[in-house]
Amino acid sequence: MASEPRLRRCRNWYARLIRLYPKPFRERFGEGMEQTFCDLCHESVEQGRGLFRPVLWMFCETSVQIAKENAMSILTKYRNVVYILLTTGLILTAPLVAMQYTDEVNWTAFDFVAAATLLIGSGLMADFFVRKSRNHAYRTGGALAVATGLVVVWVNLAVGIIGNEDHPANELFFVVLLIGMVGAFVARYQARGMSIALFATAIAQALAPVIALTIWSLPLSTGLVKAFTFNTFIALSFATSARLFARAAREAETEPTAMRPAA
Amino acid sequence: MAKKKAHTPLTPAVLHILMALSQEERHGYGIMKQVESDSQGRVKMGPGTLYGSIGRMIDAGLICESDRKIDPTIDDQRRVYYRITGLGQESLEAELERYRDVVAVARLKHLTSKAIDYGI
Repeated sequence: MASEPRLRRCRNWYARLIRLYPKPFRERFGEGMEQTFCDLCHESVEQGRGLFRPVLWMFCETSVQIAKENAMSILTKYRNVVYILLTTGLILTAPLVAMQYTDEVNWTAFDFVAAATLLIGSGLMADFFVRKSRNHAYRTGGALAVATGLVVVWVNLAVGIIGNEDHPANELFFVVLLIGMVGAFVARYQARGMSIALFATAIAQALAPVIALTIWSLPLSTGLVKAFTFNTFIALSFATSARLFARAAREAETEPTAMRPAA
Repeated sequence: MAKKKAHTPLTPAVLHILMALSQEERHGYGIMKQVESDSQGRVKMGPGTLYGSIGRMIDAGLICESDRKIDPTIDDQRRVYYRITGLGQESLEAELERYRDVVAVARLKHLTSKAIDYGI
């Protein structure tokens, strides 16, 4: 038939178009789609309706669906990132709304950027721990460590744990977090190593105000008592996270499949 | 494992595909032709819409690939046939029941007298 070469050409072009689908979809339905395309082309030729209109229609229709499938694939793949961004946006609307009604909340653009960076960074770190293992203790331990770190940075930047936010003693708490982060990196995020790193962090956190007291000879005040109480809570939180990682390590020894990365 | 519940409401494409598969197993082009015939030419699906819907319907458990073997002298052996599942049948029945309820309400309110008179 005279239209056979044209049909083959159209089929080749359609096959190229299908390559734009996400790989899993393409592998699953690519052949079927190509076949259906050919069937429709043959039908059109047999009915004497020509190829131009059906081919143009199918190319347009398939292009729209390709865009849709790719968007859905991205949304599914990065679903957690989308949730993190949405949650961050939702949290930041609180100060934004409060600023319209009270002078007590007065955030600058820098404050919003810093808060967004902190929240998104923490969200991504927590997501990393959740993806890293199926073990419940590992995931909870990771999320708790990240949440505790977030609280420390937030409070330290906002009002300062000791004195006010400009007091140099507060920088000690960033050093504490650095111990945890370097420890986690050295441990390559393995449960046993994470447990040791977080116990070290908890001890450093507990010692930080004592060191500050010694270096800066701070006077005893209600503010200092509050700082010690808050610090104890934070140190206990890091210790709890360390215990959870220790439990995850024990469970991994008895049931190795429990530590496999999440699907 | 918990039993899956029937899916309703269904999108027009899903409803038409389920109807096309309710009587026999069909391949992609066969489904397309049946949908066109069932809707008297009003619903025309392209390969993109059809296979996008098929993918989602398989994932939802409404249809599945059939293991039907094709005689190579009659048809292309590589063709994949699809068939409706029990859940798909339930969903189709539930959706049709929903449509019947809507039409019953419309009748009561005399909203669709002309449409009903014409048998639509």
